[in-house]
Amino acid sequence: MFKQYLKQALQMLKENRLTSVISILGTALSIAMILVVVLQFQIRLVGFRPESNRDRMLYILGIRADSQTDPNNRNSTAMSDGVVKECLYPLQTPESVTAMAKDRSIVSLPNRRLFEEYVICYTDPGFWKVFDFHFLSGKPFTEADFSSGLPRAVITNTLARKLFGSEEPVGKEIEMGYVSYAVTGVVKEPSRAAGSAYSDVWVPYTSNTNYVNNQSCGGVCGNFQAVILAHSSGDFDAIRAEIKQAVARYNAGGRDFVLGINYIFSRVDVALGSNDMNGGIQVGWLEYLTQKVPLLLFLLLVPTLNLTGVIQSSVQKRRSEMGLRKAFGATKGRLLTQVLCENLITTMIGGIIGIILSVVLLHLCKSFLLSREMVITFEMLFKPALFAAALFFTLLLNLLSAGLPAIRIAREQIVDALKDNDNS
Amino acid sequence: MIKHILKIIWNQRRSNVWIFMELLLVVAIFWVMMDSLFVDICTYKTPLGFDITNVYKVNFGKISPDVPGYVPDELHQTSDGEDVIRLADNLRQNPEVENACLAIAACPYSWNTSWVNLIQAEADTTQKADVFQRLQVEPAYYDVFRITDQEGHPLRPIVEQHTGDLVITADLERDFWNGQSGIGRQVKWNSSSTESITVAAVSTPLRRTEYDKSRPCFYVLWRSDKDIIETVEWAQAQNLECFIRMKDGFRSEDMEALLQQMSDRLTVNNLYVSSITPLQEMRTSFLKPRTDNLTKKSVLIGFMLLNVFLGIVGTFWLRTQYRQGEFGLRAALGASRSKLKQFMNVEGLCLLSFTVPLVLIFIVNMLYFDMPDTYRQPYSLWRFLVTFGGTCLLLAGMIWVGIWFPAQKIAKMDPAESLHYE
Repeated sequence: MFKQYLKQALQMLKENRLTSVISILGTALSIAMILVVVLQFQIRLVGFRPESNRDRMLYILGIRADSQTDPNNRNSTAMSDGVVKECLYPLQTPESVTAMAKDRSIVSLPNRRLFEEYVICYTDPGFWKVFDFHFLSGKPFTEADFSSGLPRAVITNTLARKLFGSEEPVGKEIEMGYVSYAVTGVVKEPSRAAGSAYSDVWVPYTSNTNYVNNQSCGGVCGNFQAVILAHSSGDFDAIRAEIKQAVARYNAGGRDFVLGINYIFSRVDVALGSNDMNGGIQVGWLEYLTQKVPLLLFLLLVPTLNLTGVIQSSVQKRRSEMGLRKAFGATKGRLLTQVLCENLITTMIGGIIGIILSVVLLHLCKSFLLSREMVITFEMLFKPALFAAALFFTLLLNLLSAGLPAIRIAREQIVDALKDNDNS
Repeated sequence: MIKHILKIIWNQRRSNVWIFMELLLVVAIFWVMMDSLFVDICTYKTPLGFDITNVYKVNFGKISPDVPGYVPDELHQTSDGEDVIRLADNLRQNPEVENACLAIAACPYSWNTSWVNLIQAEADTTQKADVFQRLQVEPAYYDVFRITDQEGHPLRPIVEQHTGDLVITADLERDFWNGQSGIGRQVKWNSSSTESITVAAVSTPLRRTEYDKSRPCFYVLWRSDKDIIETVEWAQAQNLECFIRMKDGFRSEDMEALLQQMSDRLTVNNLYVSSITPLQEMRTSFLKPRTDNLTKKSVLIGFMLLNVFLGIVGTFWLRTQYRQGEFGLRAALGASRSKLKQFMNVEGLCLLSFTVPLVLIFIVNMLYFDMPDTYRQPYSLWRFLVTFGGTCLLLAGMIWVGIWFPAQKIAKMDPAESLHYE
């Protein structure tokens, strides 16, 4: 039966070239636009190198530090190295923990002063365990480098090429703020889409005195955010509980300021737009969807009305055929399925083109949808979620656009249909 | 003819209702987009109050005490303030540099702003103290950014002719003195302060970015080096902003070479020039979210136009197929081809015009709830005509193009053949 529908649908597509092209184009365009919205979210959500394990990561993006004595002195900022050392490094449940602070600084060579700024990430050896960077040469700075605060740096291949040309950079020196750092390793430059891992240079934070022994608001406030890698996402609650205990222990020390870690986000929270700077906000699916659904609905509704018009017209043309089939005993349900299935062929073709088009559109519109410098890889785009979303929206579009005409034609009186009577 | 067409549209209501609903939705949303684009573009076009072409921001760094090369306090006689002034002088003396200046919280396209209270000195004490943006600058700042007074005369000579430590913008002058000249008048920091400050000059209105409306703000002048040195005592020297204007014809690619060449003059004791950013570049990244938004709106407009096109082509194409008999008959009865085309066009445009009353109700409601942006651009008849007229014209154009294809087919039709279908 379905084979028959398929044949019939293909025949109709051929017969009515222009309307077929229009339906397919309309569907493809709408699906592509919707998928671009989905893809933007997907890039924020799913893992890719060097943030492959995003599904196992927890994020501490900010903290609260409230004065014990002055009720007006309340801060919402990032962690100090003290908080990291006392509350996060001793955690038992996670696989690894890293703290990082980013800044911009000039990177020069010992014999030549340069004036271009780069992103510098002040971090710890745990960083290389949480994120899976691809080392092109050399290796990360070590635990020993970190504990003695030695000036060691890992740089990206792009920066290495800029500074040293084709020479081997490992072992050479770079200068930042008049301090010489020895390059220990070169990594493949991560995409800017990897917001936490992205940087041009990574150094042990102990090598810069500005990041150690921070004393602002009683030693609580500083520059660090943290990423925690769990063994599995099932451990998230246990980790949250353990951090809560650690914070309670920290506060028992009787400092002038009370530390509060209010939010420990999972990747989903971060992708939905949660943040913990200047007050902190947790965005759930509901808030995210209320913001996005109007746009998606609009992108879906306009082409739907289009298609309905076209389908209505083409179904109208086939009224006598439908009447005849009904006269020979076809049920309402069967006719309904037939119209829907036939149109599904068109929408499916549109959907497939839509997937391709969405990737093309995302690349073309990268400069204003994401950022021009962001590298988009195959790994980020072709995830099952993309195809699931495409299928879902295609079916929805089909149901919305062909549903009404199909119901109408199926319910029509045989006599009217056969007579081509338009008075019903 | 119109009456006749109305009858036809009514008889075709089954397929027309969909295209009508699409048009309704599209016209409404189109108007919303057009209106917000209109406000954006109008705001963008009004003068900014400053000029950043060929202006660069110089960032300073300070060598930290644990680094070799740090000059300890006992070895240098000058303060950080004097050092930073010397650094700016070094830059100014370069033949490629037209002028240089130091400032605080005065960088356009940056989040680093400062806001303080300011009131008129002669006003009674009941006057509500308002907070305004404060920019602290050297008089050279007006040369670097080519800031003028309201008549278009360069501001710096005016500042130098008059005494006083404050320059206010025209918006603030209007707020305080409502149309009277503010030059030479007195203002105070707050109602309890006894010290009053003289206004030296009035500048053109200042806008933070191309997308913002101008807001009242004022400049605190650093008339002498002493003022700068005093400021540096509480604000660190490396937090001072420094701007340089390069001579016309200077290309930003040459900046690196220029800095290499004057390398030794870029360090004074513990202070050094760490990097130089073209303001053009800062502008691009600062405005990116707003510009992106604008582009997204335009893309959505394109999406709608394309959909209307596809919808019209689709609906009318199928319609011509099963109305071939009708058109054949018309042709046979003497309707010329252009007449037939015109017939279809009017049919399409009628559909569009039916949406107008409903959309007008929508617009009135939107205005009633003050949804359009009336802060940056007051709502006027002119604005309504441009946005609503633009919407209708663009869509009408799209409908006309969409109908062109099926109409072409009708025109090629042989009347005898079409009548054959009957």
